[in-house]
Amino acid sequence: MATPSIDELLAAARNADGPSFPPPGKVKTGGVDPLGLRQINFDLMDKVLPGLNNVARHVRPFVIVTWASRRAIQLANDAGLTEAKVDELRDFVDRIEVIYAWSQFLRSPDADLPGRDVLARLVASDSYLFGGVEWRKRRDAREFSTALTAPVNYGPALKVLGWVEPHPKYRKLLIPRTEAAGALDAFEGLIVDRLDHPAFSQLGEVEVTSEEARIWADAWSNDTVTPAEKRTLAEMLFGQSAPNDRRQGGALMIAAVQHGVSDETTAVRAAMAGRPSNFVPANDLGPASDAWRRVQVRQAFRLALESMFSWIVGALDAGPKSTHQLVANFLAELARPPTPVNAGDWVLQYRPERPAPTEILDRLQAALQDAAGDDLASAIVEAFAFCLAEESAAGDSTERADRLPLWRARHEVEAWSKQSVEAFLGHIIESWVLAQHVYWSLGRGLADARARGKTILRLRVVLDEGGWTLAPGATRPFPVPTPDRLNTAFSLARECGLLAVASETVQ
Amino acid sequence: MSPLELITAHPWRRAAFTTYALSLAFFEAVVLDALVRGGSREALILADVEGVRGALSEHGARGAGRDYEVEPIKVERGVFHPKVTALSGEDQDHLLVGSGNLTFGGWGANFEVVEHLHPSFAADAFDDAADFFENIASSASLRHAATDQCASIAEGLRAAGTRGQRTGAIRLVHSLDGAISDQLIEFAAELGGASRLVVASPFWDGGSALDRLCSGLGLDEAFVHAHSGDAVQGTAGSNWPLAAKHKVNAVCIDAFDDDDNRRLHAKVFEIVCRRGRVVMSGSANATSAALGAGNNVEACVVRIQRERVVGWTYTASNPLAHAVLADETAENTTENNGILRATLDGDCITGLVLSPRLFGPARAWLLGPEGAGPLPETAIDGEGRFIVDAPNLEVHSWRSGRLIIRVQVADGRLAEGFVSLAAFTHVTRRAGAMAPRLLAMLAGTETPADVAAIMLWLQEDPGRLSLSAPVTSGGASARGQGPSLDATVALSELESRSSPFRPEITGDGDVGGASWKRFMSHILAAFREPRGPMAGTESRTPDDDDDDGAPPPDARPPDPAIQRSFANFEAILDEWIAPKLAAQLGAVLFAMAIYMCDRLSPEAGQARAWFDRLLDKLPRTSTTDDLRNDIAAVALLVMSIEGTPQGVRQARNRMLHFGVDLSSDPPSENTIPGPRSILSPDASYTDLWREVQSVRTLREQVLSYLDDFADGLASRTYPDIAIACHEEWPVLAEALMSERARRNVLIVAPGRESCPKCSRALPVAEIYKLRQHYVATARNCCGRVLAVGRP
Repeated sequence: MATPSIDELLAAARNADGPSFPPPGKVKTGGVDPLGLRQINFDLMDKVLPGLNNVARHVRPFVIVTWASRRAIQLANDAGLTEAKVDELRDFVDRIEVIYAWSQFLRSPDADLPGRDVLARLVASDSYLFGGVEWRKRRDAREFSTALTAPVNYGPALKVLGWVEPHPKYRKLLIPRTEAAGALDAFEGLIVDRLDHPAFSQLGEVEVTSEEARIWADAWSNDTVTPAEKRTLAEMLFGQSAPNDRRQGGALMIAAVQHGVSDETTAVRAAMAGRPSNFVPANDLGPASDAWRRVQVRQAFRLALESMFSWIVGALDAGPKSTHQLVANFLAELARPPTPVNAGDWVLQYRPERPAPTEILDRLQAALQDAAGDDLASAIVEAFAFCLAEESAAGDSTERADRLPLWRARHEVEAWSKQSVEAFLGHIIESWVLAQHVYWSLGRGLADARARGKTILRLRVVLDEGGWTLAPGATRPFPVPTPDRLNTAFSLARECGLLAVASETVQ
Repeated sequence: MSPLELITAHPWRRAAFTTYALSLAFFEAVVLDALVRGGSREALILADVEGVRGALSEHGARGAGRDYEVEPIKVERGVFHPKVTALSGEDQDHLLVGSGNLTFGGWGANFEVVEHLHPSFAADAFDDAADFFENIASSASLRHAATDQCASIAEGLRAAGTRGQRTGAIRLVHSLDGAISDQLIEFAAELGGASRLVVASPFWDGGSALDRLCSGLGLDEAFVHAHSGDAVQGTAGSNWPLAAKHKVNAVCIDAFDDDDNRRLHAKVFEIVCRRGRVVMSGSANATSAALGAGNNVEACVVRIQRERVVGWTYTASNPLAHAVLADETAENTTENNGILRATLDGDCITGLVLSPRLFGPARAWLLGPEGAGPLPETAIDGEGRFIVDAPNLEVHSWRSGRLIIRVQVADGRLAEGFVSLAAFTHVTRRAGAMAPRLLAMLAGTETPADVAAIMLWLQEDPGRLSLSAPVTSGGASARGQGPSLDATVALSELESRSSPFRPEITGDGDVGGASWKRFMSHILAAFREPRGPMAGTESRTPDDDDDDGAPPPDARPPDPAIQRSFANFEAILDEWIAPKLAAQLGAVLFAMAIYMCDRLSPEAGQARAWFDRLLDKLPRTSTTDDLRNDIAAVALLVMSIEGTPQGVRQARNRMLHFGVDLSSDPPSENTIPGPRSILSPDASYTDLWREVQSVRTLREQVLSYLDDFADGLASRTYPDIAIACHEEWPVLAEALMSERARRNVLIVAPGRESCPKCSRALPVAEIYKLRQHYVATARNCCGRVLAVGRP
């Protein structure tokens, strides 16, 4: 319903013959990073696997976009033009992307490409006209969503890895880099059968049949990646042209696999993070291993805090509670009630014997998934104790304090170490969890308001008459760790043969 | 009606709220959000000290004293309980008078009542409201520091009342000039006397207030609403007039039927009279503290319906089950911290303790998440006033938001309260709708949309920067817009690549006001502060949520406002880089370019284009000592991606232009991390610096040559002169060997465009060579070789 204007509101007020009873507020609730902690996790991931995301995990889409960009320019040149319409060049790239995705979904409905749902009708049709109003609408709709070049998909990595660079003025126009030429030539060798088809040989409107797409599918599928493509991606991914951090991160991952840990990411993730794994990386990979461990420790710290938040929301479901009541309830749920008299000793008491961040994460996730929730409080405290012990006294003070970095947490633990367990736990609830939640909920809401953006009530817990209480519409969140890009690195490395070599070495 | 709809519907110049209970988290999440969306400017909350005490515990709500003001009010014998919202705009004045506090409960979660008034039909009520705020300003029974604000609100309301129509049918009554019950009785008497009383109230004092009202109205009984959803609960008081001496009939008022089954917090009194009907709604419960005189401060709207004698319909009901309920009007007897209010003006906090009365020497602290930080000791005078020195606190407050100060006297009693910024009002008025964006920038929570808007705002008037000298701007450049569908591109630009004035400013360009200058200096400092990419850039994922849930959290579209920010910055760059402005704004421009790289992560090519322009166009005079280090770092990064010997000489040339001392140490490795991560993340300033130190620019070589020329011997080499000036080089080389050949070389002053011997203007191509290579030939006269000497 549209928001009433000031005149409409005034007319209603003028016509009223008595007071009114305001209706309940209609709020849309939301928020997936309720404590504002996630950005530090991403920053730490950037120190190990920069330039990757959790989506761009196959070689061939990179090649498709880069080749299509080169082909469009070639076609314009072949036509004897000195200038080409920017949109026509983009149109060609979009067309090749869609034909590629169409053909792959015909080949396998489970093809790991973006756009399965939005292409469903096209996949089911007999032919498609790449021109006219419908095509224009499709192009516009997919630009920021399902296009391979979209920022949510392969767009950033296409540029960061060095396949293409944007035109300085027309930034949507992608110019292939010379480093990709060998891969493109090899790829073109796979698809010579279709290069004379109008869809591949001319700019502007063309029509393609479903049968043609089906025939073309195998030759450019993920199963046909050429050695040249593999070499190119391997160099871009972890070679000399890659940033040092990614090179080292990749080398660490490969070394972990070569060590015979496993070729499953779960085991590799744990080994890369160091002790108690018996995988000891070479000296030059020490910084990368340390950085990866920091990623996992932060993942554990964040999940512990969000688990605490989840626990609090669950506890408030029965009605408002003071901080004191929340503390009492939490302590009552601990498997080992605190025996030390002060917070510092209490934290030490919970320090785990096997200091493995990935195991801490696993335990928290298991506790969250357990409907009874019997182990959640203990898992949270153990995670806090582990993470605080991991943080060095120096810490990384460049991380923003309002994202609750571990250096701040440790600093505050030291300040509270002589206080009672109850007081310290109250501080965790009030400052680390609820103040973080309120601060970021409000900050993001006001940012949306300044931009006249979406209206979402992110607040789930507020201090009201009666104590901490649930905000309207609040539901209990069940947090999960943010994907750490290892699956992407693993997939790309495997596709370009880096892990195959490793596996052979192991054998 | 929903109060929130009214708040969003207009860009209010000022919004003032009175309340008893206060949730700042609610206020910021809902009301401030609506004010910001509507484009409103100032917001003021007048709250009872109890409400402020609760709000002090809300550590996450940081806007108090910076984004809006909170003024606590202490009532001598009672509480400050009115729930009035006064909204004023350029051509609009509205009042909301109701029962809801500034909490989630008060704005929708409870069953509340509200009257929406406008001068066009309720001018009398605006007069009454003006009286009310004047009374707040002057009442001896209230302690607060909002006298000026209340007087100003009253003035606005009174002016609004003069524009309206007075019928006497709608009045605002309050308890500051007499008992509300007496005023009700008077209204009933004017309508021929009461025949029926119906009351809905969540809180009762047992029944004595009801008895007094019934007696005054001459009634033997009252009808009391028993709400189907029950009443708001608490810890003390009564939810039903159990001890009333008059007969109490439990009813359920039809108009109060609530599908949502919310708890009653509305307070409504209906008196059906012989010649009409009186309906009062607002903050007053059916308690003596609310309806009597000299206790609580309450405000209600009374509708006097002169011919209407039909009252509410209702059905018989049962009394509410007795519960121990909140008497929110009762004095809290537990030992709570006292409440103060304070203002930070420059380096000094001035405060007023409102409750309890404290006196004598006191210790002071600033309260933060890590505990209490000590401030200098102070003394509280007999009026509760104190002053504390607080240097450098203003910038902390602008950035971090709320400040809370605590003072404690020798006997251990203490008081706490928010510190508001004295500059707040001036800055928010001056910045207008831009204020929230600027404040977000100071706090480091700005979004790409904020950056885009701030860039546009500065471009409109660089005088807003409040630099020491007035700034004038050139013609406006085209705003950065995406290419149209018909745009064309030269195919030669698409080859594969390898590594790599508007009129004078007037208006609010006036820089008056020390607070504005300080504020803008903080903004400029924020441009220079490395903070890392903001969420939503391609190198960062969006900060928060996509509530539609589809895309994975690590892969969402970058905010389109990022491109707008780049376009707006480039428009600024186009304008400010002009010689007329660059001398004053060069340092700001450079800081902005670094900021854009740091926060919004442009692509390397785009960032390099900005820095190439800045390094080539900015005059040396625009450089400050602080900036030279950044300039050196940027020049090194550009050199690193250029990767050619020419690039090294270019970097050296650029640094020399800006007066960088190349014999000193290189920039530290953590200089300008943002541009570095974009341009050349693995670059080592130390290694690059060494390279720069090892070369000489063409200019340096020409000057060396001229030194040797003067000495008559070739002591050094000039490899680049031989390449860049290959036509002239044989003559220059020979001149070092032969006295006769020396006559073929002439030394000219920088900027000269004619032959010093023949005085004939040089051909354009030779002038160009002289500028670019510092060597040329006087081709159209004597044919001698010219070399540019020192100034």
